[in-house]
Amino acid sequence: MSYTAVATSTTPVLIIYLLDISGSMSQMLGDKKRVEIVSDALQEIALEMVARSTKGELVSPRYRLAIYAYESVVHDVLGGVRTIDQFVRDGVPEFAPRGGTNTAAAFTEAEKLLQQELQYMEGHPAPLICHMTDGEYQGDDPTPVVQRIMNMGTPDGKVLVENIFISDKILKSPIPPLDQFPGITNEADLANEYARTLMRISSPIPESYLSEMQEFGYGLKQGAPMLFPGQSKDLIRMAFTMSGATPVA
Amino acid sequence: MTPPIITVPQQHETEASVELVPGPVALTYVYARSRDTRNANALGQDFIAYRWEAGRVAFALCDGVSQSFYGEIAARYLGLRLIDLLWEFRSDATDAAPLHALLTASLNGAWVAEADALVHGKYITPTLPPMQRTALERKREQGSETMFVVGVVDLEARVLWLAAMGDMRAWLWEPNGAALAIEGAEWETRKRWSSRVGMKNGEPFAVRRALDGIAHITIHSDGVGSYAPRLSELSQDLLNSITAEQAKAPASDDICVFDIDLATQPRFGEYTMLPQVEIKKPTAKDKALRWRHVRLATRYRVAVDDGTQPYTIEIDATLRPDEPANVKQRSFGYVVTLPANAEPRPVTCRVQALNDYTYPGAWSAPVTFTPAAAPDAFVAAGTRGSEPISKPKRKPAKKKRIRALITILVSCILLVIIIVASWIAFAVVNWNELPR
Repeated sequence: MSYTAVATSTTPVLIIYLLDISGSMSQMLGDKKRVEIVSDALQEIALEMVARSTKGELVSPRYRLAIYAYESVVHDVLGGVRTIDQFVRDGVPEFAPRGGTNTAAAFTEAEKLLQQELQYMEGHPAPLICHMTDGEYQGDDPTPVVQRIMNMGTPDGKVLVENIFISDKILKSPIPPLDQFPGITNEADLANEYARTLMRISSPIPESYLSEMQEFGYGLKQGAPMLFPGQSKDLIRMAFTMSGATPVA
Repeated sequence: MTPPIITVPQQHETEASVELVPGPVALTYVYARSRDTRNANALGQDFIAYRWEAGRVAFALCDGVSQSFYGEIAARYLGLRLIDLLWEFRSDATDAAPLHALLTASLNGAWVAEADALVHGKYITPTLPPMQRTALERKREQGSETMFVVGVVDLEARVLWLAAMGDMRAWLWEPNGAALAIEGAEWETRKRWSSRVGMKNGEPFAVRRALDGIAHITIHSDGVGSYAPRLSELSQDLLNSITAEQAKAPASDDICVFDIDLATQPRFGEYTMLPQVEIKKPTAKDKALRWRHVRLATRYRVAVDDGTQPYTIEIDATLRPDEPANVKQRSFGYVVTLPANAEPRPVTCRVQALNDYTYPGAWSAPVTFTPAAAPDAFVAAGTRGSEPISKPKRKPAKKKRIRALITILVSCILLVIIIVASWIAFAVVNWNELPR
């Protein structure tokens, strides 16, 4: 459980994005729609991954990406897993919000994908699921399937689950500047019951990821879970940065 | 005259090679690109450069940071500048303070603007996907970065001056293979030199140390990984096996190793020195380097300096049938065509004869000329240590055929004239005897 395996072209890291595109994602957050902010953040982290995979003009396939956008049903946006050098040619897709919030179905798709992939991932960094939502699930409770996923893994560590909760009011107290924000360390700080649920299904941030995040200027501290309050553009950007913080060679 | 800087090429692998230099000292080096870089046929981001004369060896090894903008730009630029700086460095000090002061002033001085200009002049292929170009342009703003180890061995004063930034490593080995401590050495990944800001995340460390007790000095990039302790018993076979093994590793990285063996001794009499090469001065009509073969040379080194970034190429003395287009072996010796720059400017060239078991010959006298114009750049295959050089302009094949036809036609006419003339002469001489 060291989370020290580095992402290389022969041992790439698998990152699965589960993005809520329910109707509520068309609501405004500041001067932009929530879905647009998510697209921008995804674009940013994709650029960062490309930069981290690029040596000269050569893009090494250090990251493998899958994107599931979900509402009442789940959409496989990339049509399977794509390496970063394939992804770079097509760019970040656009999302059109609609429908409900079937969170459990999205995690079930991720579980199926992991079941297919994990057998080939010895020596690879532990996969990461980055789940972004702006509201409580409809239908089945996703907790059981997430717990099953969190028990899967590679010799490097269990599958990491990160949750980004976009909402106006998640924490009881204001969030300090991001270079001083230690992360959410106490359930009691959360002002929202669903946020507490998400906290329980978020992995602790591994030491190696913390180091990478500190390189980006974030002040997250050891022990914080991979739960991020998406109350502003900057917080959402930080959360997506975490999804690409696997150490690279 | 200052000897040229010798560079190991970044565009292909160089198997472990040994060069004996007066001292005697044996210089051994190897260069291998990472697997991904090889597959893409791209430039390696490590860089080796050295310069020697009897009693003095200067070296610089740089490890370009792959997360920065084309790390090879900073690696090559800084490596060349550092060699020039340390070559001129002389001090009677008993500590490394003068070297440290000189380095810190230089690393944050005019070099930053010069390297920044190279970074901003770097051409990015316009057909790359937009996302990749955006990522590269962002990297460009952050600059090109490199780590380095630089040093000079002064055999007369019996002193080693050494300085470094980053996580490359230098080892001082005792004759029994034990590693000697390098006082004050720090091998920190965060420390590096940047074309944008100069020194980054700290300053270099510098060391002055007597050579007493040191059998050999090894410097290498972090691509060597866990094989580093084995370098105490350094050999060409070991270096080649390390590069072969590392090429199979998942996190295969560029590898460069440079070793200075201070304990080498000739086994069969004193080492001799190869003869000096004499270059025929290129003319306005014939803008190629020409020289005659010298006895016992197995390869030649050509140093090219156009006043910006000097480089050397090596040419096998016995060229293979697939000899590169810019190098020809003729009965009298060798012809090397050099490239033209986009803006033609004079280059100064010198040539040196080499083999593996004697000292290299003295460098030839320099010749300065402006190479012939050549439209497209290519890398000369078949040369050891080739640098990007331009393809010589070939005469069109059609023109050649016409010339051959004219030659044949003229030959036929001449033959007919000779036959007719012979017949007339015969007839005149034997006029009276001809039957009537």
